[in-house]
Amino acid sequence: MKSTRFLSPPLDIQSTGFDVGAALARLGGNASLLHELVSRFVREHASSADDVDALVAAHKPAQAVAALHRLKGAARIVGAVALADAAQRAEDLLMVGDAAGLPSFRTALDAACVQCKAIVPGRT
Amino acid sequence: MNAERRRPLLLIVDDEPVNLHLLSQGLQEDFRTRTADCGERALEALASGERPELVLLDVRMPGMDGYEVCRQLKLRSETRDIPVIFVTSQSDESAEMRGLAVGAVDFIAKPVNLRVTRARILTHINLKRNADRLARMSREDALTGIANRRSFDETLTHEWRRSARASSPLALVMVDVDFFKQYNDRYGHGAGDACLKRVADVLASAIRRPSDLAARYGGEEFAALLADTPLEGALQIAEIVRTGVDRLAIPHETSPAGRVTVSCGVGVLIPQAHMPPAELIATADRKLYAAKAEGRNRVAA
Repeated sequence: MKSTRFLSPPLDIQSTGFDVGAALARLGGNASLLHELVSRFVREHASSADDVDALVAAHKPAQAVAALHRLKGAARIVGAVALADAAQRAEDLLMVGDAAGLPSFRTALDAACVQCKAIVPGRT
Repeated sequence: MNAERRRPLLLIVDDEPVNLHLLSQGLQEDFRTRTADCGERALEALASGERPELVLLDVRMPGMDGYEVCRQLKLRSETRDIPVIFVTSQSDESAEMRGLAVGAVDFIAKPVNLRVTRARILTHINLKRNADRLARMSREDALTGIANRRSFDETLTHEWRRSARASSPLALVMVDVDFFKQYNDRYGHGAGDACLKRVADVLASAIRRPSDLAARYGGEEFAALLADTPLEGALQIAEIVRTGVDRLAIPHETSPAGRVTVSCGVGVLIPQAHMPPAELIATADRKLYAAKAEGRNRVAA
């Protein structure tokens, strides 16, 4: 059965890095679909920072940029705006051969995954 | 047709699982969906099974990107007319121009808004369905549902050139309902229309190959255009039509036969490039008049 209950209490964008309201509005208010997408996001991307680091270490910057780009799109869907911004910065820097954005990307990803578990308690 | 069949089928192409999940689940109330996670699989999906009515296509994918998928699909006659909407975060002008240049009908920016996406998809599917309907109507005879005169003329011109290049025989069977004016006068125009429909059905079921065409030439006159067909084959088809109508045994009191019959004229030519296609029509027409003069309900060649 799909969950029809609404999300956890409104979350503050500044402190959480999430804009759940905007994400939900784009889904036409379908909260259970947002739950599914958040779960899916964590499942697909929780270890993406390791993947990106490995690609950079293997001198495959183009693939690392593509992975960041993909993740950024997925992050925007679930409303993880702070993570999307960090991914964008890391992507921009990596395009000019600079890996300096990767540590803060990793931090943002880990924080977002923690928030995901708050958004969908017991689902991730 | 049940509701499940009428719900349009979409193909959604994206390498990001969260995007695929969003679009396939978020649109499932209005559409049936198939998904592909890369360009190569998208082309595979388009080559087999039910063809989607619209493709939602991600631009940036590893391997074959969205532009290339779109280009490939526009190269194939079976998929050329399927509308493609690009779903992309690259919302800059050059990306849009490039997408439109390879044949996309629209763009949707990521992160997608489901209600906007749904509305745009429905708009393009309706446009496509209307275009298909108009195209079909422009080729069909409204009364009988077989090809109309315009479609016949186009096909004749095309087959004439093709046969001239291949030096192969092109056959035309002209079919005319005997004493049709008298039938209309005796039974009324409603019955006349019904009679023409039944004759058209006989003609349509007499031709078997996809390259053959059954058409309403005008009034009570019909035509069967048969590619790569020598005289014997054309005579056979004409005889099938003649006996088929005879066997319908539609009462016709004011015809000497007492029932509806047809006369057929068969013309066969190996077209020459300098000859006009009208030659074939003139030949079949002469034979048709001969069949009428010899007593009707017969085939002349």
